[in-house]
Amino acid sequence: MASEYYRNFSGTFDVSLVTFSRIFFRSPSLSYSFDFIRQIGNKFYYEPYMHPMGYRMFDFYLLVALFTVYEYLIRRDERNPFKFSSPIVRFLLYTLVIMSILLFYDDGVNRSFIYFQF
Amino acid sequence: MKKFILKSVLYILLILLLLEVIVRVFHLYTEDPPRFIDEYGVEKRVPNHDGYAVTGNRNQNYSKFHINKAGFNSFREFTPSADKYEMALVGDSFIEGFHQNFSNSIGKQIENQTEGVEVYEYGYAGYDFANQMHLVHAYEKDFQLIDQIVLYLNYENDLSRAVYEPNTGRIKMLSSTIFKIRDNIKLLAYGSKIGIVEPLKKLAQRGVAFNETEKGYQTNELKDSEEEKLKQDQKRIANFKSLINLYGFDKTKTSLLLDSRKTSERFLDFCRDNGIKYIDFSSSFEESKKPTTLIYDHHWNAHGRTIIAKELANYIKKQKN
Repeated sequence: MASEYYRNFSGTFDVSLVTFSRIFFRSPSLSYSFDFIRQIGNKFYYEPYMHPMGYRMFDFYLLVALFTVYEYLIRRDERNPFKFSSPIVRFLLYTLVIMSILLFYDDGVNRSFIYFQF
Repeated sequence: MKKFILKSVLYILLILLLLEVIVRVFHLYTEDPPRFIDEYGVEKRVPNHDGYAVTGNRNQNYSKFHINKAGFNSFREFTPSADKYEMALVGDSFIEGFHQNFSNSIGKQIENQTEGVEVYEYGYAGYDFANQMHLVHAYEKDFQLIDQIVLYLNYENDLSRAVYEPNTGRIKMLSSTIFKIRDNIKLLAYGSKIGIVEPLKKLAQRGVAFNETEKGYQTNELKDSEEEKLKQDQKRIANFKSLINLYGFDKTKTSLLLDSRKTSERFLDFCRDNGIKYIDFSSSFEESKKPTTLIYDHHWNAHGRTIIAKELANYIKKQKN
């Protein structure tokens, strides 16, 4: 049980550290990144994040939440992502994966005119 | 091996079946009411159809349409008479307005902002200026009673023809077996809408699933020289002249609705010189802080349509006074 807690803590710490280090990688200069870090602690304001293309953000938050839960579920054996023995569950999962591909498929082509004309 | 293949086929079929159920239950597919060409040669929708038009993979835009007795998406029937004040709004899919509930269309919003005006929306996806001019001419009796006519002109796309010819080929194609199959299998309709079946189609047609990307950048090159632009403008203006000569253009009550950012200055000069009125919504769109078009296509979104309705309502108020 203790090792389980340690693993979770260690995972969270690793992710936090990597995320934090990205401040330096993404900043245009070192002084900018220190400014950014200073503001994390003392500048609180809320501004909704908008997708650069204007897509509905809720869909992506939902996706991140689902992936986080899934990642947790398969944490012991990530090389076997569909380790459900029930054929029905496997079938539903495969369908869900294909459906997700369809739901988030985007080839960047504006198709509405093509579809409505033909 | 035989068992494995049979099992795989069965599995794929079951997955497709379940996907079809999901697409139907969540109404991810869009509906396109049937089309026909009437006895006047006007291409329009088969009357009395209701349904939902969907934009985007995940129902980003979901709106109800209603095809009235005249064959157009509208909240009202078209009954022009001499003792009422009517406005006709003629145009393509932007005016047809499958991107907004028909009960809150541009026409409805104009009526809400004006008093005693009935708005008739003659919108149909794929109409160019020739279609519009022919429609006004074909329904001459109705349009004689209508007090104001506004024709939506997308300068870059709508002036490629000098004479109207009904597009029988498109109607035939849409009622062909392949299209009927597509419309009945909702998963296929959905896949076609989002473009996921496009590589498969290309593979079947040309043996190549994806476009060659090596020379892809060239497709974005701007090639139009000044000389070519002049030629294009001359051709478009000639087509415009031909259409108004053929079908008539009552300058006292007809105006063009256009975006001057996408319209040639030569054409605007031509309109001004010839007393052709136009309503330019470019500045209202430019001033808007919120997006005016949808994400998945370039049609006006609800906000853009509100701006258009406001422009037209103000215009109609001026004309009435």
